Amino acid sequence: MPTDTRRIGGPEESFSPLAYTLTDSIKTLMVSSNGIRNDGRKCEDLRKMFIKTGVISQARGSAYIEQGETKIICSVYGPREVVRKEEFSMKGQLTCEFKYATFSCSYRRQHQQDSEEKDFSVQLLEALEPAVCLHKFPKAQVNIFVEVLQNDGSALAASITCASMALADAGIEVYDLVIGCSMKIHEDKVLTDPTINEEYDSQNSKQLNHGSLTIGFMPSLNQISAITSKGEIQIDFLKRAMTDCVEACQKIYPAMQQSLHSSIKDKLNASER
Amino acid sequence: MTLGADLTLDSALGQNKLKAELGTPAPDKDDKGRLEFFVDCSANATPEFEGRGGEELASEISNMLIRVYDCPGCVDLQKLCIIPKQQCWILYIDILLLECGGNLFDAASVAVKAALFDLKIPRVTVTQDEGHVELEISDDPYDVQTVDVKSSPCIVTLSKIGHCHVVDASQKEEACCLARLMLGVSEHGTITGMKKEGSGSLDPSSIDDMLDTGKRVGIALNKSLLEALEEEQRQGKKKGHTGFLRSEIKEIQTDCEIVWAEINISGSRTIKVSLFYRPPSNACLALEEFQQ
Amino acid sequence: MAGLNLLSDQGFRIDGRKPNELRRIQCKLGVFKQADGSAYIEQGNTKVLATVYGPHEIRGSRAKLLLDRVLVNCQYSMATFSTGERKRRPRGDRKSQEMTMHLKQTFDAAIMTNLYPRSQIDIFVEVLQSDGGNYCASVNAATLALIDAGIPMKDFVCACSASFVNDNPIADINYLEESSGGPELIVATLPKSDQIVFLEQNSRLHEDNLSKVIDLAVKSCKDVYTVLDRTVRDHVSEVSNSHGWDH
Repeated sequence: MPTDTRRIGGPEESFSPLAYTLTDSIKTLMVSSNGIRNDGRKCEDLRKMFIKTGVISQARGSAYIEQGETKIICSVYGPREVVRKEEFSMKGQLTCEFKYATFSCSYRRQHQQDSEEKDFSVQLLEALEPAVCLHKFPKAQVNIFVEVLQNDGSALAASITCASMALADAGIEVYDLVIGCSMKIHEDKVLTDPTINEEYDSQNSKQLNHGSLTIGFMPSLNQISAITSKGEIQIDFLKRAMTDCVEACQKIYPAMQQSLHSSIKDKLNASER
Repeated sequence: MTLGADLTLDSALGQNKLKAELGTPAPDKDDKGRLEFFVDCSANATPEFEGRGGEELASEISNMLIRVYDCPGCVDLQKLCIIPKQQCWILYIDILLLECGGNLFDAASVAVKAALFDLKIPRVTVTQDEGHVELEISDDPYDVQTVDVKSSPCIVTLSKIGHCHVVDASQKEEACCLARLMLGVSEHGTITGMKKEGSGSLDPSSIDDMLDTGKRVGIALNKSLLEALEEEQRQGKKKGHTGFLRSEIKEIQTDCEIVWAEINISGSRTIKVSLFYRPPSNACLALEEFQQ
Repeated sequence: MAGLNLLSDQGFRIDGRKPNELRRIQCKLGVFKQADGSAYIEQGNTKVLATVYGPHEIRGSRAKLLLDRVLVNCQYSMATFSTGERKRRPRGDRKSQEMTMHLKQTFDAAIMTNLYPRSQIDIFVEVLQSDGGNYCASVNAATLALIDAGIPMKDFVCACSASFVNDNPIADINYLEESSGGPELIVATLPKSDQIVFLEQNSRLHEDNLSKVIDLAVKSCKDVYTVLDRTVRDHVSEVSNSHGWDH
């Protein structure tokens, strides 16, 4: 579905009016002097989180996550046979597809993956690969599909968490869960779990130490499986943000454990009946 | 974990060219020019890149470059704007990968910085005439503006091998490394972009160490690159063999040094003047080549 | 020929050459270490790089396998920065596909294909800068790369273009002369056996003049051959010297 024929497209050279709205006034004041952010959180606070596994019945495993207004659904299929002979490998293969739903952002996304989505797919794959026991399913592949239903910041971080929950739900052997977490570095402050208005944007940040950091963390192994940053940041701040990220991940971990626990209980109850 | 000041990334051979074009600015960045990165992995590097085979690697390289250059301090894009919301310069940065010898990302970023340094954009004068705006592009080759690359970053890739990490990894080193950390480092040692690559994971404390090394190496790399570029600019472009034709002369005759100057007078014979230095250890094959 | 005087009254062309004069050819074998064979050629401002991999097992689909001879696989691509106007795609457009096919046909005729049945030889050509005569430079570079790879061939393949201006045939035309709308004749020959392996002509040329232009192009191919042959000999003696072999 490359183009939507039922919609009447604008002229070839047209710009969304959103580009001309004045969002800058909101963005300028990110943290008040007493350390309270626009949505009432403190710097180190996470947004409210909701996780549920087993939401798609057809998929081998699935998970749904809400992190504030960011809503992501993920499904896992496989392990299934690799069809093409050339791709034979004694290790299992993992594929990831990250997609923003067309209605998920403030402007309409296209059906085809754009370069940002492709980039996120690769990053998601590299975040999950170290955690999955690939040698357990040789000659086979596992497909992970992540769809962002609503984007309100930290989409990559939330999708890492969501995908690792879906893998666990699918019963695919993993060494550890992977927890994603984002930080926004704003001058001398480090803001946990930024919303879309707080996220890094090269346009609105003039000086040093404006940037964002996303990590994927494996809590029981104490390993970082993914780390990416944007924006110009001094190294000390980066290190501080990284430790904060790891701490925040530790906070998310019990919630994931609890959710998995209850989902297994539900499954057991259902099978007894 | 050492890196000489005269860093050469010659095995990862990249051709890099820049083209500037006039266009309209992106609607949300109306007072700035644009950088467009395009990486092409030529099948010359390895047959696997034939057809669309190199696209994955190409998009990885270009994404990393976009990430690293996506901060306001890197290149002054405001200078590239001519009329806000209407006309700006778009710089197409085309990178052609010809041979893989490891450490592609670093080599690509060095090439980009060098190309931006070399870039000369003709000056444009804007004249307003009854609401009509007219652009006049100067065709004087010396009436140009340049881009300040002092603060643009270089990528430093740290490959984790066993318990150590190395910079400027060769292809073989890359093959036995499970996780790499790629950093965009500016001349002050600030990080302009970071990404982990590979199927392995890293310990938080080792990331700290890698960041420190990356900063140190990045500062040194930026400094020596800029020095080398300025040196070249001062000397001007030497006549004669450049590019592929030059480098091999050095490679093959490592113990002799010859400087050739060729004078072509149309209609008459070609006169070749040469300076020939022969080390005392090497006795033969000197004069027979000179006969030409 | 809109205001452009391709051949002055004194008999010189726009870039100062005589009608039968070639542009300066500079070339080098073995520019890459990884490839089995590689070569770089500059013909005036046209710069082309060619690499050869193989002979090796068939890559990809087995359906392409030939039982009695080697499969010659070519790819022609032009760098996005090679032309005056930036190219959007380096390959895959009609023109490069046609060029790929022409190269394949040319080298199918020149390589001793029966020596390597069930295998494949890759020839990858990359145009770094284009100033007319892309096909000719590509063929010449690919020949050198094949020689560098040590692949048995019947002969060198040398290519040259020619045109016809003001009752005069001109050899090795550059971009300006190519795009001026005059006839363009491209020929690739096996110079020792005087055989033509590729011949293409476009635009209008009177039948009477055809032989003149072909003659000049074929003669120019021989000139190209002299240059290429010398390069190969130099290269071989350099390599043998550096290994300390006697001639």
